[in-house]
Amino acid sequence: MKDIIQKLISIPSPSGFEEKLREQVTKLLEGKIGEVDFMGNLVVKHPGKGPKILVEAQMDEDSIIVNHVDKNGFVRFYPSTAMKEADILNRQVIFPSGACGYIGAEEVAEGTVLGFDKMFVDIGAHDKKTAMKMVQIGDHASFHTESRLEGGRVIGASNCKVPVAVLTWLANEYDGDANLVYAFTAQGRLGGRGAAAIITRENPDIIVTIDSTPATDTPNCPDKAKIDLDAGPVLVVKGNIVPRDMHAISIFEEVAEASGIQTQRTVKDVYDMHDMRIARLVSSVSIVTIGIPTRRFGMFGSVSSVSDAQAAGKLLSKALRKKLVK
Amino acid sequence: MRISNGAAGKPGRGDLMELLKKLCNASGAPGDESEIRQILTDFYSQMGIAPTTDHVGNIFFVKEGKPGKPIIMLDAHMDEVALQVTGHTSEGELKVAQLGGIDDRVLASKHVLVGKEKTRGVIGLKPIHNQKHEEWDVVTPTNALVVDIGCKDKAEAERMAPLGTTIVFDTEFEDWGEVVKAKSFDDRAGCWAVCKTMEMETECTLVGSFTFGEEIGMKGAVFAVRRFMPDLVVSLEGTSAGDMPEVPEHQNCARFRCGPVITFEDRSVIIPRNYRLLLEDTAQKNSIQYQYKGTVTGGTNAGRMQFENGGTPCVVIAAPCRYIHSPVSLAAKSDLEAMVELSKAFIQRIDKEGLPQ
Repeated sequence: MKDIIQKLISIPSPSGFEEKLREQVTKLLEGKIGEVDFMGNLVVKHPGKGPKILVEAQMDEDSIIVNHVDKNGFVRFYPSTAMKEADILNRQVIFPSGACGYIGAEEVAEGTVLGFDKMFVDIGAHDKKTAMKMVQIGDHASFHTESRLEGGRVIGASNCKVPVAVLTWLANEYDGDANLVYAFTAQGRLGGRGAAAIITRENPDIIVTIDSTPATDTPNCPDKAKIDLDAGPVLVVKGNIVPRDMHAISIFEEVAEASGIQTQRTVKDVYDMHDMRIARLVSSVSIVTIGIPTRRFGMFGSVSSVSDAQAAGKLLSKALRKKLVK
Repeated sequence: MRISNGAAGKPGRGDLMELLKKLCNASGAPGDESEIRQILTDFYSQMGIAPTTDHVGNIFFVKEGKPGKPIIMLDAHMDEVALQVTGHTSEGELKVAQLGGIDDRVLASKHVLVGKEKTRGVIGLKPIHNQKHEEWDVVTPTNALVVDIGCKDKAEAERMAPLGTTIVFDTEFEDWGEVVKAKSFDDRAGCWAVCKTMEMETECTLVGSFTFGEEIGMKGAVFAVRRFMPDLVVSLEGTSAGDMPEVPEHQNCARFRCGPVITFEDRSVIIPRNYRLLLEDTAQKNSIQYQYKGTVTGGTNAGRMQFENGGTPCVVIAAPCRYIHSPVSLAAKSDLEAMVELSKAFIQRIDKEGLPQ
């Protein structure tokens, strides 16, 4: 697990441009043949008996979308997801071509609220022509962070990397006889778009989502629900849009207890967009969400724990041998 | 790049615009698109194609191609932004709500047509003489406006326009030479373009898909794509031209009379890169002037269709129209014609080369 995480954490993977991460996952998948669809999803099948279980993790991270390059070579952009202007100002971004730049802003009058329309990326280009060799309209750029694995902690990686590592590990290690579809999904940060296409194709009986979940063990965290790093994977027991499958969750907890795997529960549902998409597409499906406790959830450069990832992998590997569907 | 001269007297162009005129002058509030369905049925009957309908209000026209060739859905939505009666005042006026997004600022004093009888009305608000000074600087929201059809009391208003009656803007199509003026280019421009594109010869199967209720949440899109399981959707739209004073270049969605707009991404879909680049290359190879959508805003039927049947690739081509989602908008003939040219050339290329891998 540690080795997989190490090989994934520094790869940029903006929404719609997940190919570098996908290629690395493919290399790590130890000879398993996957299919890539037009959205950029990677699907690996483990045929078996019983109900079809889709196990998914999203491959993409927050990004900016290039919509314009001006005559002086400055790049204008839109945020791909909800983010704050102040959080991204002066951040370094990296484009699919490998070009990088820094986010700057026009001078605005004191007291004026800075908007994304006043911001730009300076990629150091002399003019539009040279800029367009480095950046294309429609490109997504990732926020560059120095990601490290130190002291059992994953520091600085975006939210998607550890869940993808868990799914990769699981696909390599699982030798049970359940009918599994491993889905490394594209455009997840845009509301589970990649997963949605896979769901209409595979029509699973149950969806097991591996994702990050907000940890609360930070100074003066306003959220009183206790979710700690190194305290095991989190079972999300409340869904705002789609209720979680409590039967399947109880099996995960029984397996965890029998195997000495620590788990946590949360009622904090941060997966509305993903669930809404699923709810619109299929009339009846169960969802289980396995969260990796993550500090600075939704920020650039989060912190999570290798031990939680290992525990999540072990739990999934054991629980997916049980009868999850009633 | 091709620069169209847009001559008003060009042979055949009058006929070309006649269909657009019929489509734009017809009423087609979301969920109430029967007039549009009839115009389309009449148009396709000349091509010998009978309609296929569903229970929600979509209508389809299929031009069969050769087995094994791709099924291409040409998608446009029939509905337009509109109002709907939500109540009646004791004075006999109609309380209304929006169907689709309309800027409150453009509503007051506009002429409207109410219901199937097309009763004439005007959107009224409290007279300036009765307003407090501070109200002068405030935009009156839709729920504080009324539609006045001249009724003497509530009973008459309830009889003339029962709850749920839909209301469209009363705007006549006009041909200004290079430019046409009408309501509802979003998306009658797309409906028109689908009709004109389907006149082409191809071995691909073409499904002209005209959906209901896009303006209230892309309601018909899913049923269309599930039914025909196309290999590709080409969504044809009318989009917002933002080349207005004080709109910076990087905030401009599209430029008027600069060719059809190719979407790379909006808030509902990322167009698959290989399809988008093929579309762009097709425009270049055919000397069709085009532009990229300049903003990452809005959404279309493609946003719903892309997930269906295991994932369906979609591209979006739009005519840049000024003042869409308002009582009156402008479209350029050259943009409309180039949108059809590009759609046809794209389909021809797929017919010849197959779908991009």
